[in-house]
Amino acid sequence: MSKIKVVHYINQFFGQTGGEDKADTPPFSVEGCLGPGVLLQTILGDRAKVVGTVVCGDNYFWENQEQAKTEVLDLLAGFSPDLVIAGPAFNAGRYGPACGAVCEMAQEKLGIPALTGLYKENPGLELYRKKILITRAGSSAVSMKEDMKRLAELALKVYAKEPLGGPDEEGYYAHGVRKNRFSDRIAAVRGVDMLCDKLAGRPFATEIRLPDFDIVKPASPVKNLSEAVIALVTDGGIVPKGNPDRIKSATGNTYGKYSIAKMEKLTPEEFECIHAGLDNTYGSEDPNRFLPVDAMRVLEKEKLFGRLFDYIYTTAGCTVELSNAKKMGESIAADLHSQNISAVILTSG
Amino acid sequence: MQISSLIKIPEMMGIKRIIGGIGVPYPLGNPHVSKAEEERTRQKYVERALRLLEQPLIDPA
Repeated sequence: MSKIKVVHYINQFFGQTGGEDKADTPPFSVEGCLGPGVLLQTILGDRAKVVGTVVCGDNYFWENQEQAKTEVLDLLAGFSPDLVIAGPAFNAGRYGPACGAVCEMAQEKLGIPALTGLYKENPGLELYRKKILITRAGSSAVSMKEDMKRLAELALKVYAKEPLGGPDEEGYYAHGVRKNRFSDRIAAVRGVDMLCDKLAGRPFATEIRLPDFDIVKPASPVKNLSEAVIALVTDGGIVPKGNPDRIKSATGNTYGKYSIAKMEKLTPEEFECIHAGLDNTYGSEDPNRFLPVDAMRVLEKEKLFGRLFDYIYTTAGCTVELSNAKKMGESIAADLHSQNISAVILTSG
Repeated sequence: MQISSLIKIPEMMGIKRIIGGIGVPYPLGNPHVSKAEEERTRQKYVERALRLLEQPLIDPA
């Protein structure tokens, strides 16, 4: 039986060319294994052969994008591999994404399985986790042995098209793909068992991991409300009638910034509510129910506060992905800071 | 500060200055009362919101 042909991709450092000073090394290949490839071959044993190694400088890869990718692909293809293994790249910020890109290319263009191993904070993880299988790795080459073993073993399993266990079992990062499976106990029983374990101080594992929210320190109080410039922001999806900027009613990633200068209130002729997660007829009937421009103008005249900012910010906060919500928030905040706004009233349904 | 009809959500996010909105489709509205009363109510809520911005936060520690 012919052995599985593996090609290993590594950077200039692991390829023993040099360090940062050699990060602009153009891609080259050698027969057999190089650097950590020797460990890889030892792990693979008789099951597969590292027929070649492709090396590329981390800077060269990213500074020459398309050209570097083509060059690397050609070198990979030259070995007619059955399987590509890249890295592991631990927490290396250029090497990691390069491994991801190489694996994606090998999968797409050569039609062969390709895997890499990355530390959980490596930027390459978020960029490529949905496209390729990435195994867990430590933050540095200190854990090379176990990380390479994890990577190599999973690579062989994938090549052999064996059914894979869950991410925690097999040591890879979740793709975001849900696989249904049967359990020996119904959910109610599992839930109660989990609670009993928790109360008794026994270890337990949640079936659904909730996202981690970063807690932000609240701002200091407004010192002088009568001079403060206040801005109104909403995620209730109040947009100019006709939604000119096509803000999505759900799962959106854009927000609008619209002038309310000289407006005494928002009118249903000029604004509407496009939020898909609530009955938006009430917001369309009277947009002030979300963005209380009318009330603010009354209180502005009474000099309770200094001035209503001339712009409102809006998006529809319906099933928005957390990372997009964060980006939008940061962008709006940066804009507000640049205009010296004193405080914000954010309204949500 | 945030006015939200579902206060659990901003609480979960660690936001400290929160006022509960009136209803999910109308956080600062009430279609079941007269226009005049709805506007009065909205003004009351907005005034509360502005006052909350001036409030220092008490550190439980």
